[in-house]
Order: sequence, then structure tokens, then C-alpha cells
Amino acid sequence: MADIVADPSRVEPGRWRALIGPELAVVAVGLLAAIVFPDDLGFITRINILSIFTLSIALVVGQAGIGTLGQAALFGAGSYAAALWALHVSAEPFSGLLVGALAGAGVAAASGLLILRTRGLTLIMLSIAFAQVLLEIANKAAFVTGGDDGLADIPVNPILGAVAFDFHGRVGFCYTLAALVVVYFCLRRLIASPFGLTCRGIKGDRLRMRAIGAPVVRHLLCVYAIGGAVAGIAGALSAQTTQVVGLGNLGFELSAEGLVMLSIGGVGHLAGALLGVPTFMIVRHVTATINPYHWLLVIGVLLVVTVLFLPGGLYGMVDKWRRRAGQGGS
Amino acid sequence: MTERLRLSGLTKTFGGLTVASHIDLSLNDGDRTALIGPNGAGKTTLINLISGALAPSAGDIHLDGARLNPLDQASRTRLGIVRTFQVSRLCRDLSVIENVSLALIQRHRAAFRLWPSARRDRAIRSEAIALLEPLGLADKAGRLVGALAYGEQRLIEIAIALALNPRVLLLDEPAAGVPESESGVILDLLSRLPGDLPILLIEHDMELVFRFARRVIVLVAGAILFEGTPAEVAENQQIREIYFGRGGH
Repeated sequence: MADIVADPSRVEPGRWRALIGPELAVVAVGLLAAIVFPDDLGFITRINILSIFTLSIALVVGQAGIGTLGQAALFGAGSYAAALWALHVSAEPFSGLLVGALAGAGVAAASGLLILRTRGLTLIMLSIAFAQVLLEIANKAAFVTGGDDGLADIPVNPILGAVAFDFHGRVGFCYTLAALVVVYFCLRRLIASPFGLTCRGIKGDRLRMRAIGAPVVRHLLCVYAIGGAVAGIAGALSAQTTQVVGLGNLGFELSAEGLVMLSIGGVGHLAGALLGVPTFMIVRHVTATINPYHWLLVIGVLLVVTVLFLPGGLYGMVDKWRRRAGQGGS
Repeated sequence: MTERLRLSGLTKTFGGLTVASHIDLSLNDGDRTALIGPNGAGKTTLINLISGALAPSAGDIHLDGARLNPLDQASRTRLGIVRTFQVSRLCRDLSVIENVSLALIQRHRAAFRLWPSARRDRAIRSEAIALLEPLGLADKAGRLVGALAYGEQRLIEIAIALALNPRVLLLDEPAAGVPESESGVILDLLSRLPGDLPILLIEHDMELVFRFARRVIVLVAGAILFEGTPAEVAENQQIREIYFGRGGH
């Protein structure tokens, strides 16, 4: 009976593959990209960071159904917090990540108390409004945030006191790839937990979840704060690797881009973030190099094509191929 | 017979409209009570009041002697007030076993466990299969709920209610939307529910009511018009006129 439903504990031989297979794939692809394009490490590092950011959207939007367009507020909170921590307290990188995560989670929890009581269009508008308010505060509080100029020359100590960030960005690349893999692993475990299933249940039918005794808003607040911590980590990584933080880290454009990247990759799966971000970034990079004025048009067409013809995004397509191959093989 | 649920003077008004008017009702161990009445009589409203989806304008609800009024719906469910829905409310994008597991996770207070554990997952899975087995749905455990026939979805609705280990079960038209040929399966399931569990059943299918219930309550315009055995209800001329329409059967 139990073989009807996926029972991870029964697939003993492939257990390790099931447990960390996707993470190994991320490492392999990341290292391959770094070896083939050694001059583009800065660009690949950016992809790593935005992948973490988009994973946070995949958790909040894709799993729990919180339709937010203000995720950049949490990314920005993490990057400003990490930058200020490095400038005024300690330039040790791991403590900076922790501070970024706490800032993202804290801002998410505070804003969540307001926005998570609403749904649909109201929630979207409130999430945008909250991010804009935070942006304006960062703009006006120039004595802390540097205002329009942002914060520059953010110091970063060597990792574990031994590995210094180099000019070529090799360490920055490895550091962000490691962070991406750890975050991805933790989130995959999270959505396989009872908590993760409950989130999908809330996305499916809130009334049903209330009727079985689930404190719906408390759940959403919890998952939103976790998403905030992940976005905050991405923001902190951005501050540490670029050593500058500006208002763009809080902007609406970043929130919208994250959602577009996730839509291209596939909203319902974490892997959608990991497929969508590189696709979006590479298409944008290539088209902007060819014609700096019309890249947005290409991205627009890409988005329309995915939404119309690939309902599950790139992940849905890959999954279908894989299943077909699996059927053919057995 | 110990009393589990007691409603006293339960009243609900929306502006000038009274949808529940001074309802006194108690459910004891093993009660099989059916609630009937014409459309708009306030039957589902009464379930909403008991389960906490609506707050009463006046009156009290007690479970095992404790007053429930200040508790919200989720807390009442945790105490054992369990309802089903007139129109199936299931997570259609989740599998059958996942839908049942959601309820088990709530009952085991595991919903805030952020990390999977093979042992806990296995325990929940086998408990879910044990609930689905008698409904003949164990072999469909991995299927998406949205892909099942409506009659099967109604059965899952009841399986979820049972997964919550109810102290009182409120069934809102469990056979609604199920073709007559399949409603026998539902009745069969109802007759196999734990004997000491008090059940309040809303149903339009009179055959099902008369075969299931030992007590029938007739609700008209938010007030209890009559209470008695199925035989008494069937013989009552006034109810025949109001409920079954003039001319009767």
C-alpha cells in the first residue's frame, strides 16, 4: 500500500540521491559555469544571489499562496542591515548574514501582521505600499542609509579569518554558491515537512484549513517571516559581495523581476526559481549587449510565451520530459 | 446518556433578519439527530454558529459543560466540534492522502514542525491509509482530489472529519450532489460511524434521514418547529404541509 505514495524512507538505495541530488546538480552547474566563463564571475554571483531571493518568493507565493509584490522590502532590509552591521559593528561575513536574515524576518513579521489579514488584490497593493514606504524612509533617513547615494565601501573580513574576498570575485562566487545550496536544501526540507504541507493546504482552501483547526494567519506569518529571512540573506550577500547598497535594493522593480523570473521558471516548485533566474539573467544580458534599448521587449515575449504555452513554467516542461523518459526507460 | 453539546437560546440576527431564533438543543452520547427544514430555514447557519464560523447575537454554546462562545473556529475544532461542508471543500491540487494528512497533522499538533521526520511521516501516512481503507479509497491515496468523482470527494470530506477525532460531528448534507445510485455508499458509511459519537445531520434526502436518524428536528424560519422521532415527523400534518408542500406525498 505504501508504495502508492512516495515514501522516501523506503527508497534506500537512492536515499542520498533523493536527499541532496538537486543540491549537487546546483553545485555542478554553478562550477561548470564558473569554469567555462571565468571572466563573468560577478555576473554568476549575481545569479546566485537573485536565485536565493527568488527562492524566497517561491516559498511565499508558490507554496503558501501569499501573492506579494513587495519582497524587495525584505531583500533591502537585509542588505542595509548587513551593510550597517559591517560598517559600525563587525565586518565578519557570517554574522552579517545572520543580521541580514534577522532584519528580513523582522520586517516580514511586522509587515505581515498588517498585510496577511487581507487577500488577493488588497494584499498585493498593501505589499507594494509597504515596500514603497520603506523605500521612502531609507531615502529620507540619509544620516543612516546614505539616502540617494546609498552606502559604499562596506568592509568584509576574510571568511573564517582565512579566505579573503579577491578582486576577481572567485571567493564571492563560491561563498554565494555555498549559501544558495544551503538555503535550497533547508527550504526543500521545509516544504517536505508538516509545516510545508499545511502551507500548501492554506493555499488550496483557507476555509477548509480553519475547519480542521489550523490557525491560518499564524501559519502565514511564520512562513512569511521565513521567506523574509531568506530574502534578507540574499540582501546581505549582495551587500557583502558588491560592497555597496543603494535604494534599488528596496525598489519595486526588484520585486517584480523576482516574480517574473519565478513565473518563467515555474511558480509551484522551488526549482522554478533556480531555472527562471539564470534564464532571465542570461537572456537579458545577451539581448542588452546586442541592443541596450529593446531587451525588455524580449523579456516580455519570453514571459508571455511561458505563461501561454508552458503552464508549469520551465520546470513543468523539464518535469514532463523527465517523466516521459522515465516511462520509456522502464 | 451524558450530554456533550448544549445550545441554549441561540439567536442570530443580520440587521432586521432573524436567521436563528432562541434555539435550544442538546446532543448526547450516541445521538443520531437529523435537522430538516425548507431552504433558507437556517440549517447551515446553525452549523456555522456551533462551529464558530459565525458569532451568535445571543445565547450560549456548551461542550462538555464548558462555554464555547469566546473560542474561534480553529479552537473549537481542536476541542472536537467537527463539521463537513455542503459543497466539498478540499484542496484539489493535493492528493487524497495529503488532504487527510492535513487534518491528522492538525490533530497531532505537528503543523509547526519545520523539518520532516521519517518516523512521524510514516505514522501519519499509515493512520491516513487506515482511515481511507474502509472507504475503499486506499488504492486512490496518491491521486489528486480534483481528479476524483464527486461522490468519492464526499467520502474524503467525512474521512477528514473522522481524522480530527470528533466529540461532536456536524454533517452538512453529506449526500448533496451525489447521484442517487451512490448515496447508498454514504448511508452505509454513516451507519458505520462510531456508535457513541453524537451526530447532527442536515439532509434533504428524506429516505436517508428516516433511515439514519432516531430524532428529527424541523427548523422553519430559524426556529425549531417540531422535534420527535422520524415516525412522528412523518405523521405530523403541519410539517407535511410546510416541509413536503401541500398535498404531501
